Amino acid sequence: MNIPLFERLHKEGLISDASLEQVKQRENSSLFSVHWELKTILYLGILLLTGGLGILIYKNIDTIGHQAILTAIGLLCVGCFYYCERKKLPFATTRVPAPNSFFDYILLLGCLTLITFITYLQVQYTAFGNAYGLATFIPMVILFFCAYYFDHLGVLSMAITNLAAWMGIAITPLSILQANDFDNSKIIFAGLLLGVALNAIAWASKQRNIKAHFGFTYINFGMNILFIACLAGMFHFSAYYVLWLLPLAGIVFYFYKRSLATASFYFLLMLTLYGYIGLSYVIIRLILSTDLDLGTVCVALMYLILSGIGVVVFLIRMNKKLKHNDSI
Amino acid sequence: MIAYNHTSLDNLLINEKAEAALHHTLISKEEAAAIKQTYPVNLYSPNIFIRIGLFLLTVVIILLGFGLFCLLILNGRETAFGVLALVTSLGTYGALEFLISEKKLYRSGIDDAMIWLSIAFMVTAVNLLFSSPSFLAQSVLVFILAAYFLLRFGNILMGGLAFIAFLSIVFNGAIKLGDSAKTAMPFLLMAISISVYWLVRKYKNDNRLRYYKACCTFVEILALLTLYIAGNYFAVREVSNLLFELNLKEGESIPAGWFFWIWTALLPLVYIFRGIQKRDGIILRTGLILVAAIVFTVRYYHHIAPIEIAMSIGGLIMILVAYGITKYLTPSKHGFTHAEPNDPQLAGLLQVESLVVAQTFQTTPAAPDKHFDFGEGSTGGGGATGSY
Repeated sequence: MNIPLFERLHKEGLISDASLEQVKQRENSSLFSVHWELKTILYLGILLLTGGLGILIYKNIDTIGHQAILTAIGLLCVGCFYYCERKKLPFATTRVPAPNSFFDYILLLGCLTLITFITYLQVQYTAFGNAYGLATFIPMVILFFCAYYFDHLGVLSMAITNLAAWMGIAITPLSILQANDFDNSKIIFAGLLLGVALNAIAWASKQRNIKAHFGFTYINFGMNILFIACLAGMFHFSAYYVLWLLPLAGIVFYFYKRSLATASFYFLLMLTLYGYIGLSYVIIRLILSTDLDLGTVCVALMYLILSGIGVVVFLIRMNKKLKHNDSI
Repeated sequence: MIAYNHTSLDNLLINEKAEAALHHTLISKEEAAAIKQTYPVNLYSPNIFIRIGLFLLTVVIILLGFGLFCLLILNGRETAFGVLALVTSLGTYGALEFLISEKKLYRSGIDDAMIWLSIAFMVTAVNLLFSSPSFLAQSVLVFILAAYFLLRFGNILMGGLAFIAFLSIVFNGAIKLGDSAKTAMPFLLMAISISVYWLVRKYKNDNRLRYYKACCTFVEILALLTLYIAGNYFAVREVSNLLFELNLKEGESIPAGWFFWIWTALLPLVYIFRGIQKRDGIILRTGLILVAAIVFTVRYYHHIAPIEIAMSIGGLIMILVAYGITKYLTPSKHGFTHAEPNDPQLAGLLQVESLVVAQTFQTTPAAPDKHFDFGEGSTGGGGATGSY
């Protein structure tokens, strides 16, 4: 806080005596928070530990023996969950804050070891039969349960990626484009279904007020997979590419309404970019389908430049509009 | 010198402070609104996401425009493209000045993109028009442009670019002076980094530099990093091996290697200590990041333990350290707390964190699509609804 500035504002009669006093008090008592530093150290620590133990087990599997490893993993897992269960605040359908940042990552470690345990059982003893679906389905259920029971966004994200994996889609940010074979129509339709389902869950969470703060995570995954699947459909079914504009327009419209209602700049940007890519793909294809020579290429470039300027103007206008509704 | 109206920028600073105070409920909503009314800001600074979008679109538009003209002079000589790049650079700069004076763009994404593209096209033009200018000449060019844009627009990244270009000038200039200059190079770079750090710290809160405060912070971080890199064993050994033709064999050390080892291992700890002592988040966080550099450097030359043992033990130590600090700071002591800061700018970090967690702790590989058969039995696609 800048004390001289607030003294000046006070002198001009813009802030009251009490407010000035509060500003001064805060200046003297402000605490330095190492919250995110601790979280980062913990995150890296757990990443290294789980990675290191994984390699260690892999290399020494012959000497240690399966039972010993399973016991060790199981004990670690039980220890983590015991700690979390003891420390956690009582369950509620609204947001429950973590008691401290250490708790968050111990829970994460517990979930990771539990899943490793199950995977190990499956690989070694085929405990859950031969159905591939079941081996991903059980961790998914556990993750969803933990996410809701302990109120943890990171575990929820892992649960959603597991749900997607169960449906055959990789949905993590860095692999959503590379790991999926979007030339496969099954994947495209699975993506659309998953996107709709995730958005429906988000909607229901808000309606029934069950962990409504999870909504953003669901919608974020849901929106991206929905748009990507829709664009992939447009590129894949080349005979009907113009028709794909219809679902695309529907999705854009839905998220446009949403972003206006929640004053969300992030969704506005994403829907603009995805929508622009889809629309431009169709228009460029139409331009180039007549005749492929220097003239049409120039026309296509002109279209991109002018429409790009149009999108810039649109974003500037929308920013003003959203800022108007912005509550902060 | 700065392209913006001073009153607007001052009012912006006042509004930022008032908003922060409002967020901590130190002042009331009415008071914040009154301040906003008395000190109106007419600059256009959009939300960060819109800024990113505008940045991307502006880059695409200008590059496509350049591409369009390139198509039209497809058969021209190299100098023709050079002239075109020069014209694009000047045109971008002219458009930027126009947009700022007419539309009051300030940190809007559009101006950021135009600044970068103007510099990039100028450097391209010089490279195309003059046959292979030296590194030194290019560094001087970038330094002059970046320093000008920094002063004119107060762009944060330009401050960093100017600093790096300045170091590059010193480096490329000193190389030409002979062997003694080469030996002194790490110390020269260290001296410059320390001086810049000291200067920035001294004048950062100076009222005359109030529009450049964020630039100062950025240069401060960079100076701390370059101070470390200049004496880091890995950087010194590999760079001198590469550029000064020492022909070191594996396992051979550089002259005065012990000094650089001490520097590598101790400086981050000094940063952390200083950060705790002064309650200075910048130097503290830089120190924490550089701990990773210590580990990397040591492991690159000495295989103390196999990677998996090192990872497990390192991870365990980090978890224990974090646990110890959390315990120690409950309740908060010495002005430090482990509680979540109540800062609106950090609100999005939780979402980012959850994404990073989901990305790095992938528990199941995506199902191979041959087995893909969703809607299997009664458990259907909506498996997630089980959580209600």
